[in-house]
Amino acid sequence: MLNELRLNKKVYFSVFIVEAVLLALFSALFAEVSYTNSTLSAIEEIDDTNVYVNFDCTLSEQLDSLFENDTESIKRGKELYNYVAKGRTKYSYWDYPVGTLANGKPFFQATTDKYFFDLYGIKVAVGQNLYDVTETKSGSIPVVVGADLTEKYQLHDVFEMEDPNTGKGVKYEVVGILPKGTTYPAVYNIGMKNSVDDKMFRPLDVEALNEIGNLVMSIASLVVFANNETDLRKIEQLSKDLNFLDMSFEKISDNTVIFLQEGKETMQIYALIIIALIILAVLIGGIAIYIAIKKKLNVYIVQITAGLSLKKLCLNIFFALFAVNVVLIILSLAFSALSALLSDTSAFNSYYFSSSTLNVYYYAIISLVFLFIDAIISLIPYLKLRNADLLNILRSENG
Amino acid sequence: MADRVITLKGATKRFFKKGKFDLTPLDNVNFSVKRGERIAIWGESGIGKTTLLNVIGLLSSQTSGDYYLNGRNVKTFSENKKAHLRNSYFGYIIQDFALVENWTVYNNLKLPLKNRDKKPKNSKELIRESLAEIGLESKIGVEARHLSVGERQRIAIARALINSPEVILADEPTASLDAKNKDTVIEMFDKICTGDKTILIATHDDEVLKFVNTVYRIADGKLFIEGR
Ligand SMILES: Nc1ncnc2c1ncn2[C@@H]1O[C@H](COP(=O)(O)OP(=O)(O)OP(=O)(O)O)[C@@H](O)[C@H]1O
Ligand SMILES: [Mg+2]
Repeated sequence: MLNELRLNKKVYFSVFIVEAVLLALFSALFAEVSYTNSTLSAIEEIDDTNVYVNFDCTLSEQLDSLFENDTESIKRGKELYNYVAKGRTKYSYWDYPVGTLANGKPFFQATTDKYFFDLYGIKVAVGQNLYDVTETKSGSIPVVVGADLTEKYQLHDVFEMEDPNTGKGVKYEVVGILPKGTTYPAVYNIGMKNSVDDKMFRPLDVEALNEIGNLVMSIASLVVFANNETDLRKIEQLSKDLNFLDMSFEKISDNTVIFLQEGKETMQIYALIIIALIILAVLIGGIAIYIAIKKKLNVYIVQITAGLSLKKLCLNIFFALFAVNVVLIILSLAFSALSALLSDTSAFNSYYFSSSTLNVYYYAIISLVFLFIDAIISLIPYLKLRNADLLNILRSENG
Repeated sequence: MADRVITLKGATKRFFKKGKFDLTPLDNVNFSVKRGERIAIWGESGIGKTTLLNVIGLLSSQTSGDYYLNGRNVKTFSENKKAHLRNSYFGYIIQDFALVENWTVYNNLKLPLKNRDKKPKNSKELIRESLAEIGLESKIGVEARHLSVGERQRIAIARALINSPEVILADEPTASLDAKNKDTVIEMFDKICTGDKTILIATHDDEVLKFVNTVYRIADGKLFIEGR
């Protein structure tokens, strides 16, 4: 194998280059495919239900008047909310940027229902799930935080933060930490996913709310799962009648069909590009090796007279190619580890496992593809020379 | 039959490419070699000497006819078996380019050892010994292309012999050598070819003829006994 490598340095170097390009393109494509895939799954998660999102049209004068008569407004708001909640599947979700940074990025204070966590299967990596906690030791409000926030807040930390709706300081206790890389579909922006990494989640209990700011948000940010359109129109009408918000529910699944189609087409194109690249690599490698054998014929004749069989020759080629792959993959692993280290010091943070499993998956696929390419390339001389007179086919082209 | 190492029966080798060439260097050849014989294949350039050695050495196969090796038809041999025989049964000193030019003497000599079914553990020792026998121990790390013609030929012979083959095939081993080197090479053969070792030398060198028992001449695709 070493002799073979040494003998055809240039050939193996060009295979190395072609495969390096393939690796780079592959990793770009893989990122794209897994993006399309995840957005597709994001849509599919909510696709089979009719999902309605409120695009709120309330004017600011109307809001002002709600805030002025807040005791009266709270009563009407709760009536509306209870009407929506009765017999319907729904959740509210809203978030505000906190104004300070965590892990170098702004982070958000999010408020949502238990159903949100259930629907998207969001569970903590450490600690307790938000709605499993009824009471914290410190008596403060429980929150779960995304991985970026672990830089600031550890499990069981108690801290005070302003409620953006009331401007009052609230005491929170961290009861759980969410796994890094967890996402949920962005219902206002079809096909996109939002990350939990930059968010802290606090629970929502509309029954217990006694101020108008948060109540308005829990109604304005409603996502309702319903089977008929008229149901939504009733909600909108009730809100008008109660002189509360000017609501307008829109069905999001209409857009998903188009997006699904586009996503699948994109993935098909990627699959074609990958196949074309593999064929190209095989052709370049196979032909180069075959030409090299013919050109360095005397070296091979010496080896053949010394007892080298065609099978062994092809195995030598295979292992030489394999060695090239191993070097390439080790280099790229080292490179990605290095860049991860440089760009993100929390790369070895325990919440990172979800994206590193993606890497393992990716390298497994690329290794298989490379093995496939190696096998085909080394089979080319075997198939061409198998039924032929070894020496003659090598020596000159004769029938 | 038992003492016949090599038997060709009606062996024909034809090179054919439409409109380009149609050659039959071996035409219905009957030929046999007894164990321990020293044979010279004599003939002018381009007549078919190398072709004959290639067929015998299992580097190429006859177009038609049969080749029996120790009484067994080589057509029944698998590729692996043939490779094994090339490695251990035959010692082939190829015409002109018997060594890989930009490999060291060591790596050249290692080739037959590496391709053995059971790789010897003491390769280095074996290589040293074989070099010592021809007085070229000091060249072990030198690349073949830096050797003199005579040294190169001696190394090529050492390489062919390192697995102690039964049959030695030498293709024009003295062709480009001066008188002194010629003598050395012939002496080498003389020393090796004792007892049961069989040797076939393709040559058109008178000197070599002194060393053999039988001389065959190739002409028009046929083999003729020229002298014993
Ligand atoms: N693979 C091949 N394809 C076509 N023609 C070939 C092939 N191998 C040999 N020949 C031709 O067959 C003839 C016999 O060749 P061979 O090499 O056996 O001659 P030779 O007697 O060894 O000559 P020399 O003394 O020059 O070595 C030559 O004319 C040669 O050109
Ligand atoms: Mg010849």
